[in-house]
Amino acid sequence: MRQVLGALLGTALGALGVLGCAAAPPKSAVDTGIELSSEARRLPARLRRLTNLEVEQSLGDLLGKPERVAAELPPEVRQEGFTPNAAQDVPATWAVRYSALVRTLARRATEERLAELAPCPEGAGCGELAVDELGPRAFRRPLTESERKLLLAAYEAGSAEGGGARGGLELLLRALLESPNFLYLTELGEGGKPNEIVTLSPYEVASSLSYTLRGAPPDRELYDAANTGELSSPERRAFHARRLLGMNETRTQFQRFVLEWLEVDHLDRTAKSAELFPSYEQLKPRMLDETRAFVDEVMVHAGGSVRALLSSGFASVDPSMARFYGLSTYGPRAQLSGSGRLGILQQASFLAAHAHEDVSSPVKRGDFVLRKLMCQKITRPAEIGIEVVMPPPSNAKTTRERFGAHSSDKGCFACHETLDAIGFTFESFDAMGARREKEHGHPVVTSARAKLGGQELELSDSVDLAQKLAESPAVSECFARHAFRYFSAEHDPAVEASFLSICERLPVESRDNLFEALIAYVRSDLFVEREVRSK
Amino acid sequence: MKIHRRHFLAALGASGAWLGLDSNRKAQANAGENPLRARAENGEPLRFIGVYTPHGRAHELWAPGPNFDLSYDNAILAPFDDPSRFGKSYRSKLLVLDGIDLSAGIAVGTTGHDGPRVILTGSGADGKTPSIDQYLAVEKGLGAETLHTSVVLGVGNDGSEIGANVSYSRGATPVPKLIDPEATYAELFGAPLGAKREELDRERRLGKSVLDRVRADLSSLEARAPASEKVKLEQHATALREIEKRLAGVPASCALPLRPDKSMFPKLRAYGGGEPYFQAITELQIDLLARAMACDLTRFATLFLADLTRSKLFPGLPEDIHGDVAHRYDARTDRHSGTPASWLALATQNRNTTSHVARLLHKLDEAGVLDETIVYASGDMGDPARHSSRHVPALVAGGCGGRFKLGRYVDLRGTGTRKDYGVPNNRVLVSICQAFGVDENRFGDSADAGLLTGRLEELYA
Repeated sequence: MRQVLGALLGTALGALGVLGCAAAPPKSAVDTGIELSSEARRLPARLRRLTNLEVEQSLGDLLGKPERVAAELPPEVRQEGFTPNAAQDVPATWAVRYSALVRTLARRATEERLAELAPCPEGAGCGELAVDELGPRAFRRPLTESERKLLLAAYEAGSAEGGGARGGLELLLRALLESPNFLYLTELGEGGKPNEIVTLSPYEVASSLSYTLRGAPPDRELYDAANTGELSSPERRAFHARRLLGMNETRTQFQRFVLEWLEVDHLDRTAKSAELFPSYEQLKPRMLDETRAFVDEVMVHAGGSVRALLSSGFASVDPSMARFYGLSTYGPRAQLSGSGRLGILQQASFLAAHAHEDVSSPVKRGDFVLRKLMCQKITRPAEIGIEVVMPPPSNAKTTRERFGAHSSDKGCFACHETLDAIGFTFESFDAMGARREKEHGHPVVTSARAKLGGQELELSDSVDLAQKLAESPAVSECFARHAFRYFSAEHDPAVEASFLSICERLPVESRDNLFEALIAYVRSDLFVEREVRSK
Repeated sequence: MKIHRRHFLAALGASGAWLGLDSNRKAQANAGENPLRARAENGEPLRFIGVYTPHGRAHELWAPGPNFDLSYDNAILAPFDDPSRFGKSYRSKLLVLDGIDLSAGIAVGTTGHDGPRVILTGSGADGKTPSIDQYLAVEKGLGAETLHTSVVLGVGNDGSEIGANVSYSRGATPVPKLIDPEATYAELFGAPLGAKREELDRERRLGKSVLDRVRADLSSLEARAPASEKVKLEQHATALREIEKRLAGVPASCALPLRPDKSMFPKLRAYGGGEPYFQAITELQIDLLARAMACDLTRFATLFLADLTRSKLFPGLPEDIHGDVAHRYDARTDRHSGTPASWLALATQNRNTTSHVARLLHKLDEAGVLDETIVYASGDMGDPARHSSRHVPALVAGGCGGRFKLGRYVDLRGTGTRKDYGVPNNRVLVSICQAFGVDENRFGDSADAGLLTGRLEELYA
């Protein structure tokens, strides 16, 4: 696989943007669906609770108005740093708060927009109409007869409590929004005993497609496609995937993926020493804006690849960040040449998130590169019986000198040799990501020799590192794995291998394009088949 | 540890609750199986509060002196023996455990700043055992009879990362924390359903109606879902039961505390400007929790105390308590005399923490529930400069329902399999389980079963 992926990533992309834009991606050369061998691992038949953001999108969609929900809910449990994941459940605290929120929103929506929400004002048959209109949209599939009866009973109960049509609709909305059929993305298929493979229903396919690519419920067109049965065709799935990838919410979805992968989405919850970095609080939101805008440029408009993320020669900066970087221009594609920066690893958001409050952290930066770009498991010191002693703070030594203990201690050196070497290449950036030539009056040294993916590399600095990573097949494979973990919301190396085998079958010129990889996934059996697992 | 379906059903308070049966009738039928109910008939039920304490401890000033002296100069545990502040000493309500190791975490690298994960679960990051508060309250059903099965509070950080949580539900998902005293008040004592009686009654009927539909949906989903997904749906059913319990509202007999004054804590989060208010927030959270216990709104709680870095609470200390105090702690060892100034600095911070725990005891005492409460306060690290999860500061406090012998210092350092090892915290957790009448001799997850088994005999005599 590595060889194939090597070829995959060896593809010269040339200038960025050659892959076209999301609205008109290149037509894939693969015409039929992608079958999997019977041994290949599938995703499990499962229920995935929507993320807080997906709940917000879905709720806003049903109520016909964006509502602030995600920030009001307890935070998600993450897997590998990703919010979309199948481990998400409904804890009591979450449910109680969500229920209270729904109560308020349903009341407000029916008070403010009854005419828009209710299919008819009042009278016989209006309850049925409301249930038939809103029910399938909330559950993202047709209602069963018993569901229909129960929902109608909710409408009537609300109406009978003196609320009339408004009260009926309010209680109907509450029953819909609190239902597990709304809160979970179901990928169960039909029937299926343990260890059997099942195929998703057309409506499940529609929902999976939409939440995977947009983080939002299916639109009318996709729902209708499920209805007519056309989604069993790989071609039609690919058609809708391309259509969805051209929609605006796709931006948010890809931004979130990169921010969570880069471990910078919590930047607003970090602080730096106010004494050493007085501008940090003010620049923090700008740093995140920059990374988001950069993701738009590289991923959304250009189909995206890890190569482009790592080695794009421009920044997407406003005047304040341009000043911080010492650039003479600003805008979505401000040239970085001469700035000592390149791609996403030299962005302030990454550098600040992977640093301490007062000093840079070669360990954190090196650790990120190994875990998230090389997919290496890092042994924690305690696992091999080492109790960590932090290098004492010092104003006389550079950070690199302070971490010297790692190379003088045999026990530490085994792991830190590579970890620190990679981290040292970033030493020309301080704890908030500003360029520096010196630390405490001493020149910083960024050159290092590191063993990476079985190769001994001489690195002059982190720009050099980024360029080498961008060319590495291992990095490309690792990035594909992480992308799959996010977009499939599952973390299972065996299923990832199935995904990688699908990527291999793409035409060489498309393999580096995340959009194309996702479309290939959508076309494949991997997207529509599930394994029934007993535990 | 096996979790039986029966326990889950007991947690629901009613096996039929989500199948649409009359939950009260079922709960009565199940009462005979519920050890807590049996005890409640004989007297006060036992309560549990787990507290996370940050920044390790300066051992030199943490260990009690001869004759269980807690009030020597600069003693970290002095707040427990401070009649001038509390009108009495809580020395006799305290058991100081030295040499508790977060062993199951250490075995898999869940240590240092990830140590909170291990404190109440006795498991590393990969474990599945719930924390003891959730195990007793939810799995064993001991929280079923109160309005809140359990309450999970924090200060300054509501994140879901393992370093910021001590409460975990089954499957090891962190239980979200309430960090805003206003939200804690609303959650515990508020009348969000409407203050007027008729409005409340109406909302109860509507809420019940919504729940019935949701339960029906959950049942039909459960019928279709593979075995691998059942735990999720059971968790969801438990959550619905919680919503239903809340519909009952706070009993009229409960004397409501004052609504927290938002102006006392305009900001809440660490690194978000909340630090200067952490002291006020902590006190309010403790006040509200003690009142909730007094009103028997809950019997199980945890409190995740804040790291006071950047709080500027201590005029004599650097602002960065984490980097400049905890990391610079230089312990005295057999071969090294250490740096006394660094002990004093860390002790100043540590004493702030113990002062909150002592105040919690005092508030529980005022509420009349101290004697029937087990407070277990533990840190994630012993020596914070080493980020070591051995010899973490562990306190068992409250009256503990007479289950443990209090007013003592128990030194378990060096009693483990190596000279520098102590005993696994799992033993404390097993003892707490047994105190609640739960017949378990093992708690937590580890490949090394020896870490998990057996109660801590030293608690009893």
